[in-house]
Amino acid sequence: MKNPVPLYELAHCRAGDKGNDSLLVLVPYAPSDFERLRHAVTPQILARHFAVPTPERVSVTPLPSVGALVIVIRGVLAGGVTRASGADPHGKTLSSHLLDLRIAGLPTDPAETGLVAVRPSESSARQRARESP
Amino acid sequence: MSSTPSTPIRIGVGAGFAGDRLDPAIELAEHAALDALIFECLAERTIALAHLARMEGTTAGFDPLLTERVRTTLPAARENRTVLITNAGAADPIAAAAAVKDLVEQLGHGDGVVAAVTGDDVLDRLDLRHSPIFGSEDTLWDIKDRLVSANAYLGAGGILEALDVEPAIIITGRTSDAALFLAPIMHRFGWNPADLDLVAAGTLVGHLLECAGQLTGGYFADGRRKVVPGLARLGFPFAQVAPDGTSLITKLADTGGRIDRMTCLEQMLYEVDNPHAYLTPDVVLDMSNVTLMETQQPDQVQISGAVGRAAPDTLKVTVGVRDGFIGEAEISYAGQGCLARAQMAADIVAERWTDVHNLAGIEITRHIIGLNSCRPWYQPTDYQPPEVRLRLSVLSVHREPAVLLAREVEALYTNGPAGGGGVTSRVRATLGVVSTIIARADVAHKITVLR
Repeated sequence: MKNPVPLYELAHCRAGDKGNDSLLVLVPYAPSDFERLRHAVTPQILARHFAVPTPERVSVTPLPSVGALVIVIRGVLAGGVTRASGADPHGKTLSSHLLDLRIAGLPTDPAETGLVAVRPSESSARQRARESP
Repeated sequence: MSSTPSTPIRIGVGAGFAGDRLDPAIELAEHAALDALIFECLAERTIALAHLARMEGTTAGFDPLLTERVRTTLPAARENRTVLITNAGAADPIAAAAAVKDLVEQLGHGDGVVAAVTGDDVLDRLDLRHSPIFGSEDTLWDIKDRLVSANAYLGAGGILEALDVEPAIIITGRTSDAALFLAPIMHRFGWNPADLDLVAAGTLVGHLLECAGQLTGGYFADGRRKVVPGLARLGFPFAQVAPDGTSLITKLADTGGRIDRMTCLEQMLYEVDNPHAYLTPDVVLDMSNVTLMETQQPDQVQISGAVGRAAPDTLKVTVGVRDGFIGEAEISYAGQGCLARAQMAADIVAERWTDVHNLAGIEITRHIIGLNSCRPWYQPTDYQPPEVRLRLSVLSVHREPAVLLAREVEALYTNGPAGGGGVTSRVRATLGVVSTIIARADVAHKITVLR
């Protein structure tokens, strides 16, 4: 199997912050990708990608009326804008980090992005999503 | 009683943060025929920093760029009957209003009234023992010796009252950002504060506009999938809000940037943790059924569908807390083995930190710019960059360790690995911000009018 493409090929993202939490908006370019994106981008996968200890630190709120996911990653900013001494205390760069995520089950060929096709492998991602808090 | 105007109010944003560009506001003031031009200049921590600066006597307690913004926009604003509204009063809106009133007279607009809205400073009103710190088990009493400031997020009420005197400029301290925009809309149409869907609609307009260039394609463009024309001359947005609360978001035609469904959607959900219940002092905004629709015209999006519920009977309070010092220092390495040399340099500083200076209790944060400085947990294992920059930093209660870190990195020039260049360092006092709440009944706004 070819490497899955990064989310960058399917979606755009904006990062904001509140205290020590990163707030991310993830929007697929094609509205028809919204459903599979919401089932693929689970708290488990996001917790791993952002290296937070548990999926309970992550919430994903779908907003189907506009086709966007609101993602909150708690405690990922090393203290946030007031306390973090690192290079990006706001976590402004984390939108691009999210778009680096590669998820199996999303299309493997960039030319396919925007297609409605639901792949069989997506059902496992959907299963994981159901188990998430 | 006069009838409610049926034409839309035109409301623009001239700054999305304290240091924002000056020229987009001038373009709006001159060419957008605005009723109100808003300068949002007060991030959560900015007001605490302003209190600290005022206490230490280093600067005035208000935004140093405020007078420049007024100087460059007031002449056109007076001509076009545009009221300027800003939260740049920060820790001292009355001093800011006095300085601006002097400027208004110098500019030959002595008839221009300046109004200040205060009442957000609640440091003396908080019951510290019973003020919980959000996200912890503590109360403000536990950190009472470190408190610098406490400012409640006021709603639109104070600005609404100030608008009654038909001022040229209104200057506030801490209010919700959206209230700066909501107030002139409510004032124009005489909306009842209890008509929550209208208040929600006006709040949504404010929330969309408040970051200025972030709505017109700034903080959006990536040059490949999201192409935005004319970023060097990025125009700031304005809205035309109808009496029924629907609004049209747009920008001046001859400015850079773009406005479409994508840019509006990213900004609508920006820094919103719960789109079904976005808390403001005026209303709880529910975005569940908002629609963003592009019109036939370029750079125009029609917004409708905001729903409002009653705001809580408490107000959020931002509390500034002394938090010690941050020291940062950097040094560059290039060419063969540069990454290994940067890591060697970091090891040397770390060893001296514990063995020579006995500072094992203060952790040095080490990052390599070009490899892992933005997301330390995520780095390639087989990457040989052509150059890197080592970045070391500490957060400490006292100033000395922060200064020492800067010296240790500078000493790598002669004592460290080969070819280390371009040392820079910085030591700064840092101010923490925590949040608590206060009962609305304990907060009252006050208007000061300078004629």
